[in-house]
Amino acid sequence: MATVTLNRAEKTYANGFKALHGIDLEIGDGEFTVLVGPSGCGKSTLLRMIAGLEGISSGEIKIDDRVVNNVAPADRDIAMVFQNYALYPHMTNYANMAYGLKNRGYSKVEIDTRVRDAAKILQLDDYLERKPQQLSGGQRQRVAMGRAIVREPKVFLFDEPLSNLDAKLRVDMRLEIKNLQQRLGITSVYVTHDQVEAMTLADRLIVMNAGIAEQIGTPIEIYEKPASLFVASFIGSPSMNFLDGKVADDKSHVVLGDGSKIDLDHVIDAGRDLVVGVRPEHFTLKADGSGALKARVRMIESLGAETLIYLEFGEKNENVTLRMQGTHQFDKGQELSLATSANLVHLFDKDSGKRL
Amino acid sequence: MYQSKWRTITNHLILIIGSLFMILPVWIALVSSTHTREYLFQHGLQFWFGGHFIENYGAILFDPDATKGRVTALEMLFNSMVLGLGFAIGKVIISMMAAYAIVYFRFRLAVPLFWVIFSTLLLPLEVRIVPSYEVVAELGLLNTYTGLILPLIASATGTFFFRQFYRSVPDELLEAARLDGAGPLRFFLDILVPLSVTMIAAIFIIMFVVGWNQYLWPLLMTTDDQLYTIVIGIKQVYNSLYEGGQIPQFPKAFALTIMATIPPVLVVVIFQRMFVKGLVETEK
Repeated sequence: MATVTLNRAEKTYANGFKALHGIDLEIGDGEFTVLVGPSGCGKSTLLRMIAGLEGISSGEIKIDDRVVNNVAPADRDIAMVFQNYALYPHMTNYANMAYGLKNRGYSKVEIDTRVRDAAKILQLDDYLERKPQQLSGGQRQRVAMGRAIVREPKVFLFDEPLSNLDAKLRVDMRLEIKNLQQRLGITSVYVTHDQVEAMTLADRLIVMNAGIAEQIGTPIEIYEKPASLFVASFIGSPSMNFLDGKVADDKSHVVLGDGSKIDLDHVIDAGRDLVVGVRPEHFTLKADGSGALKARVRMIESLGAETLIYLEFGEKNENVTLRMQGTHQFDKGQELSLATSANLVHLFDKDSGKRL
Repeated sequence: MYQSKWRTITNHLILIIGSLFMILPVWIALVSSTHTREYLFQHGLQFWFGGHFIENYGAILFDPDATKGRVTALEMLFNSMVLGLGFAIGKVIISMMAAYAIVYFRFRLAVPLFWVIFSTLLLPLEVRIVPSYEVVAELGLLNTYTGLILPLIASATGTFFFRQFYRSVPDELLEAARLDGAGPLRFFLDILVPLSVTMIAAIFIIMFVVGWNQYLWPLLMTTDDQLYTIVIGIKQVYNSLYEGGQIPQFPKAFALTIMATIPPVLVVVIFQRMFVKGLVETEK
């Protein structure tokens, strides 16, 4: 059981590229932390720094209050699961799982017990004598997890472990990983670019962008109160709608491009330019035309359980997405009237992108 | 169906003619080696077996006089085997280690060093044969197996192939091994060598045949008959064909040629199986 602490952790590559601009992070004992962000945001670099596969340029990484900046990966008491499994192809699955223990000088009996226990947990009992390429993708990833489990490490690191799997398997494995982590209670850090994985797995979510942690919080906190435009657009699918607006003189509402008004529930300086964000699921359709926003239907996607309606708003044809339960049918060009409530509206500063 | 049948027939016809073309000289050498020298001298090359197989091959294998040297074909085969195996094994081991250093370790001048090694491809032994001879002579290695093998090993072909192969091994394997507590030596022996089995087999085949067929270097190196390889032996036998006004020793020369071809063929046949098996089973 362990905590992981990052103190102003920075990474600058030899060519001068700064991948991480000082990350501060405390991961509690047994916590499942997910690093999420677009590719190139530094999330994998951060994970690899915790693993010791990348050096740290400045700052500190601590595992259980021990500074591990210059500790070899093998001595950090961590285990990592890779995106492409990284199983040794010439070894049986048993040997793959046993290899780390063998190198650490465990006795044959001890190794056997641990490998068989892990295999039981992961339902790999029948596959131990086979080689990795005789298994399916999901099974291979389970072997890779087995290799991590048998070590009984302080920290689990996952580097996009589900990216190579097909959609259905990914959902199954996601549940399995969550289940396993809760059962074993091992502190975990998980990197993904998939926000659904991030939302469902995380106890705590870290949204990263261009080498900085934009926001750290529980998935629901981040969904409900995104700290910046970037976080707001990255978390949630389909992505949040953004409309330019200006605070009206009486400070009670925001005036949008076409003159329509959105009510405010907190006080902001009059005349200030800002960006209004509303999630597609937080619009309601007003059949009587009483909604604040009028927009024209551009395209409809029916997913069965829900319908996504893409609309054009105002003279500049700003895109607005509406998400409705069930199936609905509209004509192209038909004007819809949308309403939302003040507590579901997100406001961001136009220049800094910060939440107001 | 009709057309494809004709196609099959023509395809086979071409292949059969090609095979005959390739096999015929070997066949002639094989059957001609089973006649007496007088018979061959009178009737020319033969297309079917004569009755002197055991006699001719026995003489060439065990009687030093038959080869006109002081060494039997058996001893020459042994020398060739030492050269072929020593060369192939030495080359594989050294190339693997050199490539490992170049690909996995970051050290000063690694890239220039690789190009230095690589440039030796431009300098095969034949080009540097005089200085090589000087060096080997100065070291007192003339007429030794070491002197025969070492200078041949010094070239970059194997290193280059292994380097390309290692570069195609995913980095995650190295990282996984590091997390599993494997040091550089463990990683090399436990992961890289087993993964390279196909490469090792392929390079071993090629190098064995190259080593076995060496002619110029052994000829220069070995003044002692006891170290003659079979390839030199063939040359010696042909040289002495007309000596002393006797009837030429064609059957024995043919027999020696046939024997010289058998080991490389065996090596290729045996290792080819491993090679293919490795290709099917190994996945990076």
